[in-house]
Amino acid sequence: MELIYHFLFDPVSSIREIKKVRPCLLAGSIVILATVSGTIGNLLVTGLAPDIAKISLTLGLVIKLISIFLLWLIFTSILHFIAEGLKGEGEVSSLFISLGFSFIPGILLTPLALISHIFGPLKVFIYLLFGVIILIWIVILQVLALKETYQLSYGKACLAFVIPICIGGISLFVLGILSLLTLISFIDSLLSF
Amino acid sequence: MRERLIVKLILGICILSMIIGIYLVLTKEHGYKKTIALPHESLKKEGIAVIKIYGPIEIRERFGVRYLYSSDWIVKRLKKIRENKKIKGVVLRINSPGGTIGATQEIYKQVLQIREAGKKVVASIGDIGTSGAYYIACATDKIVANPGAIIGNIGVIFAIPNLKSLLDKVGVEFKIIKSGEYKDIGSYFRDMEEKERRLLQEVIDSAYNQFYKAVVKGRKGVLTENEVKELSDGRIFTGVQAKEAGIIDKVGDYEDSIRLITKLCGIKGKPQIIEEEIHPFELIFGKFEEMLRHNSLAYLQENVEKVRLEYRYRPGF
Repeated sequence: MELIYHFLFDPVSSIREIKKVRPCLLAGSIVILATVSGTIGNLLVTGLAPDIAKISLTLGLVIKLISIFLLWLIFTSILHFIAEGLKGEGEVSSLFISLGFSFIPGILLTPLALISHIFGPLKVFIYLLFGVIILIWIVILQVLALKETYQLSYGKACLAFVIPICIGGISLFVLGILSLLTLISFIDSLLSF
Repeated sequence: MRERLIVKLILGICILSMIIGIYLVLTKEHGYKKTIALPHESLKKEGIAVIKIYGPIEIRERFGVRYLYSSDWIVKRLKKIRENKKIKGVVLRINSPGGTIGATQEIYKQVLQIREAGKKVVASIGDIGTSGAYYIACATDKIVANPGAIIGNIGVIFAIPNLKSLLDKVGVEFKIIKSGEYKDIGSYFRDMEEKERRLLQEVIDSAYNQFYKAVVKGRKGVLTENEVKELSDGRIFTGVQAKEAGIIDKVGDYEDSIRLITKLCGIKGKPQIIEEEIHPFELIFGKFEEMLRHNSLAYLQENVEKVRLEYRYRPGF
């Protein structure tokens, strides 16, 4: 519990603690809670039809959890590879657990979604604002995790963090275009039936 | 110690919020209420609700998602209107060739109940308001239609394909083993017998009589029973012809309908108009599902197998 507290308010010292203690299960629990909280928060604000919301909450959540765990693993591996390339030295397991802890602010998404309802029609905008703040907070924690685990400078840590995001972003963009083209030709083939 | 307490408190609040959130999402139509249900709370003054009846009238749901403009959805909306004291009147915006009898009658009944609750209802026919759509319009206080709209087609249709010649050509034969004489009535694979035709005609006549009575009731004071009988041979009318024949009350457009309902409800000034909103996700899912459905073999099969009575204008037959 103290680890969670310190990670939020004194992340540097708690990352050092994580290197010693390796609370993998706790990190996993945090990731699960944050994903569930994020899903519920989004559903509360977007106001989907109850039948679609039920599917999103059940099947959608399962898919999201599997994806987030895979992404967590892949992202850790990529960051480890880049950090070592930038002459950093550290253990991938410590980074893995620290990145899991960095999701702690995500647990606040559901209460924030409920709070945003006070603002009536502005709730979506307010929730988005909260979401951006939480995202920035998580990114800062992840950069700190990278820095402390591999003893990198702030600059190198930021660079190591940004590189896979840029590559991932470009890949997703290209994938998105290709998917769209495939979908268009698929729909076209249906319409011409 | 203090840190533990703070963390437990934060986690406790978050977990409690999640439980509340799940409850709201699964049970209360949270947020969704504002988009497709009538916003009871936000009505500051008396209002007029507009319900769209577009396309074929039928009961349909697919993949657990609301099918756009399915009759059971229209019925649900009408029930909420009936309960809302701030809604003084309803405009049924009709653009439909008709549809299945059951679905038509469910909407018709709801419209009558809204009128019994003391509210006024006006039908506003856009391009087409034939058969089942006209049946529903007969439940309203007044019927308004565009001068060039197609109206009427009072009657019942029951269309069965006869594939016997085709199957004979390809050398396919069906052996039917049945428990009762009429179990395979309406079979595609053989000629219809005279006694089957008589039986089906009785069914059609029963459905037709229900339609006829609804028109008589709806046009009481304007048309006599004999006049209705004469006009109920399935013919279609333009809006202008329909007004001359007495099957509608006024030639006009949607705005004319709004003015009429405002006057009937006795609302001073401009009323609040509440139109159905469709959530963007629903629109996307609904349209995509419709597109896939209409271009799939499953849809063809479903429609070939669909044998049912309809109050519907089908010029293709």
